[in-house]
Amino acid sequence: MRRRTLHLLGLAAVMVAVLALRWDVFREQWSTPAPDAWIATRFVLIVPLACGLLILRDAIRRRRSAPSPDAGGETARAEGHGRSPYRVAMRRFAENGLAMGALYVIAALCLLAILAPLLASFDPTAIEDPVATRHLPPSVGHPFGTDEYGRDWLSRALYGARVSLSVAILAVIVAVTFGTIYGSVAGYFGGFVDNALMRIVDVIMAFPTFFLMLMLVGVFEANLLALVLILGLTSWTGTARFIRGEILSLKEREFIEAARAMGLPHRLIIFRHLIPNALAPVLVSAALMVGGMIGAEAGLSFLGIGIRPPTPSWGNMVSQGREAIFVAWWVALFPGLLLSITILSFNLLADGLRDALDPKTLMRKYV
Amino acid sequence: MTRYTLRRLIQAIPLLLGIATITFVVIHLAPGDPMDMFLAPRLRRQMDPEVIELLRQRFGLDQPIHVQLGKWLVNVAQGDLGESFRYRRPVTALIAERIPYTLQLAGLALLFDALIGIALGIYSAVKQYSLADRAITVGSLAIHSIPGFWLAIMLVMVFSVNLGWFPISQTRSLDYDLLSTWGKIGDRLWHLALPVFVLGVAQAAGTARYMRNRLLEVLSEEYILAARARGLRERTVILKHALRNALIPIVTIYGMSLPFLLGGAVLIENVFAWPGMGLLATEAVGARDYPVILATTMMAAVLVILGNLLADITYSIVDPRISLGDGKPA
Repeated sequence: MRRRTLHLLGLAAVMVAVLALRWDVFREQWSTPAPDAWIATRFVLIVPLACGLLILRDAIRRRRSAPSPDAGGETARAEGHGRSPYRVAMRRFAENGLAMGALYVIAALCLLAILAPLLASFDPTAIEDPVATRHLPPSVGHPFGTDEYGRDWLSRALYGARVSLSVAILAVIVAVTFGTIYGSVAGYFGGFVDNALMRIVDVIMAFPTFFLMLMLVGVFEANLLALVLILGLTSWTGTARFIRGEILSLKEREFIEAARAMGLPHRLIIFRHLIPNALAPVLVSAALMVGGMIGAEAGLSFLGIGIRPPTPSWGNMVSQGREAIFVAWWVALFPGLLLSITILSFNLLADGLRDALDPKTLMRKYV
Repeated sequence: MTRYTLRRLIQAIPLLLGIATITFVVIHLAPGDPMDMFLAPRLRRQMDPEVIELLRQRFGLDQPIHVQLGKWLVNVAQGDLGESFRYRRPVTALIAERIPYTLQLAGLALLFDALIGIALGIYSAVKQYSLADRAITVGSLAIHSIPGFWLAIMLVMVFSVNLGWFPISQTRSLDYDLLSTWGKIGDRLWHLALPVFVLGVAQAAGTARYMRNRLLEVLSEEYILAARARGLRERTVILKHALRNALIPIVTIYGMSLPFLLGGAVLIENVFAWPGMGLLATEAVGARDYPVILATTMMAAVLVILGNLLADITYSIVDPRISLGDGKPA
């Protein structure tokens, strides 16, 4: 636990130092008026914030468990396991090479996205001399080549990572939060409420999700924020369904009966006792969903209705590449490659999480 | 059997009502005036406010919302989905023109999926932990992760632009009308090859993964052990005894994968300029052609419901253990 805190502190410190030292680079974007860039620039704060939260949580845990250091029991520690099932799962996850590799790739992509202003050697939107730099093939100066306006493709890809990753992750947060609350309310109250709520889910599930997104994006002229909401609010049904299933079986258990006998309000039973116990599969589906969301956002941007140029996103970069297939193969190749790698990493991460969290697969060999 | 089909059809009605209602809600949540749904905004700006008020009354937009919803449902039930702004034609006719193209594409992709996906899944399960098995498992996950539209562009770049083996887009060659019947079919298939492959391969990757796990599960059951103990050939055990049971849930998987297939078809149709429903929907979004946007989405949902219905009925035929709810087996 303490070593992890140190690592996190180190990472947070490095990030803060980088931000402080090169604030001049970030400041310009920070005050950008375009609403499209807003979310993506705030992405910078995520790593220090996440580290801070984890450190805080660890500290609180340590303080709470300090008076009774033996709470885990002798046998568990003798086997080298932590106390909670989550720590067992974490250990199992760490042993899965493929999943850990995927995690590192994702971490690296996030860092690239955050540090884009430092790493990109060109302005992603600047069109300087299109005649001289138009459609340059990949070289040392332009590793990914340039596009028809002579913009450096690597710089655009780095900034595109910001947009693609932040849109997908935010949309998943929206979908998972909404789906979890919706599903647990349906499962917990049962009866008429359950019936009514789940019929709505049935209807939404009948729509092919991509068509639904297309319709909503088409009817509401979507900016970045609206896009996040549309992606999130069309994708929560799966989560709601299986959370409901989990809750239905959990609520018959004794500890819930005890909670009810103690007279806890519904709100507390749902949020304190039911949801935390049903969260493991949500984690898996969230990881899977990030991959799907990146694909969906890329698809919409590819059709020219998601993220619109000049804001770069991997999807609209591929779309630009389609127009250049006769003259410049690199324009379509690189953003798509990044997309595939990112989605694959999230899928592998989800696979690893599933194996780590599911007690049934404990004995099974991976692949 | 007929009773079961009929009952499932009746059960689908509330679902269809729900779909029409959600579409209605979307219209009313849309920013701006609901008049935009009937009149292209460009046209509206040039009109006298009094005329607009008259039109509003004529379209029933001054009535309470539940009356409007009722009217909308009646119209939809009668197949009246309004008129396209862009083409100045009934939306129903437009969709009827485009649906065959989408069905050709999706149907052949499903066929490709069934042939390749199931075969690879079986092979992978039978040769568990072999090199080929690992390649199939990892490869299928990788292919599942590649965005279809990008794969399509890459294939076009290699096979159409550089090698010239397949057409770049469109549905027919220039000399299509001069060809014989078989020539026409061949020409169409030649144009379908790349889009069907792209759409089918992602599906096949999922099917192969599922088929492998399912067959491995079945192979560990005791009746398989019994069959082997009786000295049956391995080929017979797998193809006759195990496969039949392993295949049953695949039918449901196909039903469930339908929304993804149609969603994927939107992007593929765009890459290949394939004039199906997906292309119609995207064109409509680009042109703010609201009636078409709503109608294509609704039709896609209806197709999914029909597909699921078909899957359920097939399921009840292939698995006699499924109770049809009327007390007797199928």
